[in-house]
Amino acid sequence: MPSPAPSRHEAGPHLSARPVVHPVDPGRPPYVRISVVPGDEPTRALTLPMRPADDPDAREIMVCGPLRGGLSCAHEGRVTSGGLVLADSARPVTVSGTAGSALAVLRVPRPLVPYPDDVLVRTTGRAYDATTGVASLLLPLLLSLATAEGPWGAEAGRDGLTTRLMNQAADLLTSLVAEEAERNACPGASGLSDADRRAVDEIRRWVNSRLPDPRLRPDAIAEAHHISVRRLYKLFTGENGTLSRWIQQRRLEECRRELGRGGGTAKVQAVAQRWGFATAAHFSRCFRARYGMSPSEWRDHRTEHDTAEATPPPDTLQETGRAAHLCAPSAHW
Amino acid sequence: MGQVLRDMTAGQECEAPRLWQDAFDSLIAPVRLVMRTSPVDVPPPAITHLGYLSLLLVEAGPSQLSRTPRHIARSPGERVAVALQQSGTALLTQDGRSAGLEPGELVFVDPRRPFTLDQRESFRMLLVSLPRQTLGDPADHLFRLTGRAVQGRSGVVGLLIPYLERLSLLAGQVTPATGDLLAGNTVEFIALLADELLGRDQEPPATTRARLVPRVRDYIDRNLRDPDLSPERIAEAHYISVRYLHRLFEGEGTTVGRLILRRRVEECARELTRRERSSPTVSTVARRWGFHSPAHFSRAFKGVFGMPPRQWRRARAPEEDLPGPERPRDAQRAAVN
Repeated sequence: MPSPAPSRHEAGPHLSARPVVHPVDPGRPPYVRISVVPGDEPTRALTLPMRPADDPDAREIMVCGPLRGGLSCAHEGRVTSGGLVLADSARPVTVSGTAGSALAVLRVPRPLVPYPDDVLVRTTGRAYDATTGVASLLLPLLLSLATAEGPWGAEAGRDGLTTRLMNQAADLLTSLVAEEAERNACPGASGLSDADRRAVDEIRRWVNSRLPDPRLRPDAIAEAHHISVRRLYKLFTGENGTLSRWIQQRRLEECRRELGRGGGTAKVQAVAQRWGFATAAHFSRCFRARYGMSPSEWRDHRTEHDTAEATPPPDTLQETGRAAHLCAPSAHW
Repeated sequence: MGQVLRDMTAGQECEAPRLWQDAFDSLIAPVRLVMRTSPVDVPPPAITHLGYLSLLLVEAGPSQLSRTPRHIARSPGERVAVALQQSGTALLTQDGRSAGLEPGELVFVDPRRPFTLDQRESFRMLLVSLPRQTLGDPADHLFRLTGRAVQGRSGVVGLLIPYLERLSLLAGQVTPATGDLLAGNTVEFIALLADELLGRDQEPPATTRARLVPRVRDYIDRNLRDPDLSPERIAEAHYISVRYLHRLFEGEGTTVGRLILRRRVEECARELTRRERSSPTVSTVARRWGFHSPAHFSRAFKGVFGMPPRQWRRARAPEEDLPGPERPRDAQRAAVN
């Protein structure tokens, strides 16, 4: 029978200490969590999502990784295997790991993953090769964070640090989705010649290093690379859209990164100003259009939250009970 | 990229090939690079870019890299670097500090101020450079981090080093769009390390303080009778470290230990004033609340109430007739108090 709540005495052979489970605080926005599902069943199959799918607020994008061995994922009749599984709680999957291995599950609230549903349909519900690409960066981090004491030492509960590390994992999940979405969208090379490709890469790098500069306009960029503006535009047409749109998108991404560092000290107004937006209102509009929430909402999502409690007050006991169920094997097997 | 070159101490010093100079110049900042091997044996540097991040994998024989005030005057340096030593030992000197770099150790390098990097033997090193302004706040405090080897398997560095090593392997294989995102991810990771080393993360934010302190106080009240109640136990129960617990209480005007003591004394005092048919002795009450030494209890009580327990009890209940059998012993204890 599954035990009610994860405790340090429940740790399996590959968990060094108690798993990290943060109880839900009803008054705060949903945040990133890592749960560990103990691996005590030889033929364990875990159904993701681990919470009722009929709760619309609970939609999460998840990455599941085995503490050892590999995984296979069954979804809509298709079975894939690899080192980690990316799943959307709106579309359940069944995950099977190497016999006896515990599974670490990173859970990111859906609103924090800035891609539309059709992108998620294409990228979730399958296993990924965790030896390459973003997956090879995310999996080791997830496993380290899931073994509660982790390499960052026994000082679990250093709020700022733990929150930022969780956010780091969530960011890599976002990058994983983006990487796969791009692979799906443009499987072939673009029409550019090798020389043109190198030129584009060089210009991108140059622009990337100067994003906050208000002088970053097509004529200045062209001049810095000794080409005409017309050639510049030609190089940048295609799947990436126009140069100006790309610059705008990169700037918004950097704003999101800055605000996403959390701590509650970043001022939306200051960020907007620094990045050349005419007004904070204009910035908020652009941000919301791209990311589905206001800059301050995003910032608040990323700020420190409380550590787990030894004896939670009664109103969160139910939540803890549910959370415990999430970490236990589901009843049907 | 390249083979590991043998240490050719017999060889002459020579200016490094143009390719190497250019690599450092553009990726980090203009430096003087001297290699103690023949230039013809030095393979080209392995450079990859991820968005605004640049990775330079250096593999060579004994070399010395230096950035002088003249270099700085010519170009101040808009980028910041993290150097990860992978094989061989080096000595990095900046801001008056010298750090011996062993394999698996990293160091922050700030090109705004002079530094030297002395690779004593054949080596392999990964340099990650990023625009200074992307680092944000830690960029203003780099002088506290330079010239110090960061090592260990614990803390953020234990997570970051494997990440950087894997990043250098996959950097050449991701698309530009993925590279842009990974650049941002990596900068955040490096900034987190910087904040951890600077001790920034250890400041409990006001919101956490507001939540945790009442919970700790409540926990203390509920467990006052437990003789094992201690800062260690409290910290463990709240999934925080003792050091963090003490920091939380820094603003409370007391320490956890003193708070426990005071609360116990207060509870004893409350019991001692209860008008009951059979009032327990002072020592009984004290023992019940975790005080095993009468002298210790008396001292603690005096510290809180300004007078010993018995005196306090008498002051609170002057008319009460204390039970007979206890009195002779009381008289004896009064002498001690």
